[in-house]
Formats: sequence, C-alpha cells, structure tokens
Amino acid sequence: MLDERKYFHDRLASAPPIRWGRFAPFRISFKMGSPVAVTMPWINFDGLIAHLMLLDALGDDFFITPKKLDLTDSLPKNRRLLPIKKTGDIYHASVSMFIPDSLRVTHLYKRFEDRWTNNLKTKKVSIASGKFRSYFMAEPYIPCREVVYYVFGDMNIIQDLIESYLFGLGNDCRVGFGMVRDVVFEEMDEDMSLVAKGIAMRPIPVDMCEEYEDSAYIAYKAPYWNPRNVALCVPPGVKCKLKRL
Amino acid sequence: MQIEKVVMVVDLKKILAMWADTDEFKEKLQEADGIIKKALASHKKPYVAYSGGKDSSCMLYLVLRRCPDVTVLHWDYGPYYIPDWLRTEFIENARKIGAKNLRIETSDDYLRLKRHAVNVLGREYIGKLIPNLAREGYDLSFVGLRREESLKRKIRIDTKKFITEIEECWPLANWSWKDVWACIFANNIPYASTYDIYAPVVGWDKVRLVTFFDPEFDHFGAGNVDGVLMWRFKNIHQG
Repeated sequence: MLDERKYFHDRLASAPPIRWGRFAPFRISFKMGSPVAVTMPWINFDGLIAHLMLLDALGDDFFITPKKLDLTDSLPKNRRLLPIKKTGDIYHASVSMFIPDSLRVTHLYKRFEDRWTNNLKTKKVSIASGKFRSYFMAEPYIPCREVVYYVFGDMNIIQDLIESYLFGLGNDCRVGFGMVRDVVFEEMDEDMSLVAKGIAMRPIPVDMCEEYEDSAYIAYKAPYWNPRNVALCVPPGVKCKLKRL
Repeated sequence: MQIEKVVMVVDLKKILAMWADTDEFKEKLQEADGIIKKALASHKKPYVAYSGGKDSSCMLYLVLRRCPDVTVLHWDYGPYYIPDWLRTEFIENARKIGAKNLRIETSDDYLRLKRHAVNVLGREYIGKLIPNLAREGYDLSFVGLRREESLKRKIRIDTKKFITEIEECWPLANWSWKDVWACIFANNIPYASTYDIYAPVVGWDKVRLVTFFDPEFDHFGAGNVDGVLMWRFKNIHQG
C-alpha cells in the first residue's frame, strides 16, 4: 500500500527550491469580479499562500492530496516555510479586509449531474436520498468590490504565486464565487500585518500579547482546518498590545 | 432634475409588532387560545415542549396565560451544540415568560460524543424520556409545530401524526412566521438573542433556531453560516 506521507514528501522534495529575496511590508488589493463565498468572517493570507505553494510544488497531484491529513511535518523546510516574515509561530500576514463588508446568504442546489453516470453500476439514481441526494444549501457570501491584505514578506515570490495559480478567493470558486479581476501590489513603509494602530490584524495567540481586550479559541496557523492549530487567540479587529519578543 | 435618493431605515421589528393589530392576527390568536383552552380542559397532566426557539417561546406565553403551573420541558443539547450563554438565556427567558415548573433534561451522549453526537434526540428524547413521561402520567404535549414550516410538518399536522406516544397539541399550526414575530414583539416576549444575529442576514421569515455546527445540518450549508456568524463557538471543544 502506498505511504501517502512519503509519496508527497518525495514529490515536494523534488520540486525546485524557492529562492527568497528581500522581505518588505506591502499591501495587496484584490479587485473582485464576483462576491466572495465565506465559511469564516475572514480569509487568512498565510493559508492562501500555503495552498498556492503546494499547488506550485505538486502540480496536478495537489488534487489527490489526502483530505484531513496534515502534511506539514513531512514537508521539506523550503516548502514548509512561507516567503513571509515569521514572529513566534505566526506569519506577518493579515486576514482579509472586505470593502464593503456586509454578509448575505444565498442558496445553491447541490444536485445530481449526468457527468457522474460513467462510474455508476445502477441505471436508476435516487435524488431523494443517499449519496446523490439533492440539497438546497445555504451559501454565505460577501458582495465586496475589493479584498485587502497587509503582508511582510517577499513580494515578488508572492506576486508570482498569485498570478500563476490563484483561481479565486474564498469558498466555491468553481461555481463562480470569488473571481478576481485584478491584483494590485503596493510596497509600504510601515508593517501593518500583525498589529496596526493597536488593532490585531490576524489571530494572535494570547501568549504573544501583553494586553488584549478580547479572546477566542481560533486557528492561528495553516492548515486552518486542523484543530491542533487552534489556541486561545486575540481575534482580528480587537485592541491588543504585543509583548516585546 | 436632480433626483434625491431617500434612504428609509426600516425597523422590521416595529412593522412586525404592528401586524398584531390586524384582524387576521387576532383571529389566529383567538384560534390558538381556543385550541389551548380545549386541550387543557380535556387533559389532566399536560406539558409544554420548550426549545427556546421563537415558536415554542410564543406558545409557552399563550399556554401560561391559561395554565401558569404547567410543566415546561426543555431538552438541553449540551455545550457542544448550544453555547452555555445561550442555554442560560433559554432558561432565563422561560422564567421571564412565567414558567414556574421548568424541567430540563439532557443526555450524557452529548458530553461523551461531542460534535459526533447524532440522532440523540430520537434515541434519548423520543425513545426514553417520552415513555418515562407517559409513565409519570403526562397525557398531552404542547408543541410549537407550524404547517408553514415544511411540507413534512404540514402532512404531520393534517394527518394528526404524533411522533411520540403522548398526544400532541399544536396551537400554532396555522400561524405564519409573521404571526409568531408579531406576537413576540407586540407582547415583549423574550426571545433568543441569536435571532438578532441570524435574522438580518437570512431574513426574519427564514430564520430558525437549530443546534450549531451540527453534522446533521451540514448538508444544508448550515456549518458555513454558523462558521461566519457563530465563529467563536466553532472551536469550543478546544476550550
């Protein structure tokens, strides 16, 4: 039986190394062509870049990566670390800022498509129950014009990854959500990726903060779906003061 | 000619409260009151099934007006499906509405299985608790079921199909969502604060109170909506 961890480790080890250049603070502005479907109030930028780096290294094999298996520990260092400044356990990358930020909910029909018939043994397909049951699914989305991120890292590598591999932002891009019209990169003088004007720009573990007004159990590093990466954090948008590290 | 854009701030709660002045609502209220009166007269030991949602809160208010000592049964879904603050709110609201005999039941499965606890309501509530209540002499259950909610519920009401061995009474069977909210807002009936979070997004007509991050509702995209609106509660198991 194929050892998935080893297979993906070898595939990633054979990927060309990424040569990091100059790190600087910058702002990325995604000009949106369609609303962004969301499953959280924000989208983490380091999660997005980790996803694009895996796509870059694995090519089509990315789409057969095992679900719910965290490959982080088996990734070679060059492919595990993101081209973003790191303090403690977190990257200097803000969460998404949606402009304007207002949530809506629409509904989608998840229903049987005849392209699935190739692998079916039976001639009749029940859409009332079972695997092919049709569902009326709620889809939360934000109809924003722009999505802004603040990052401190290698702008050229990140720009290259985004321009080469980013299909869309957020959930359900395959049905047209989160389409990006344009991306604007601007270098900045100030690093606004962790805390800006006393406000947390991303989930920050409370251990890293001297003072904070609020906290919650949230994931603070990629992969964000893994419960192991959940800790008591200062949520984005909350007043806080970082400890001197 | 310059057209001025008039922005109207609509207070839906006030509008819904005004619905309570309509003859249509008054008729529904009278009908519900009649159903409750008749049910109380013909049964010895009834109870009110109170979930904390809008329908059961409204029904509880109506039943307590006629029978202040009625037993109010609340099923607790445990800390992994309902946040503690909301559970406390349910209980406080029931007391504010006037419940004196509040009975809270739950299952250990919720703590043991956490967010993998599936079908506990059927197994524990319908399978064990209700037969126990029947043995204790309870002969009627007030349930806030409405025809409008789904075709399945409409058929259940039309065919008088009880899911438990205890007879059920549905005083709000013919009520619409407008009637329920009108009754709540016009009478200042306390309701769960999560409605104020969900209703502006999903609509006052569609908003429902169900367990959060429940795998049973994943197919309907409920997990995604909860993830955005109740994100603080997503990782409760880490706490």
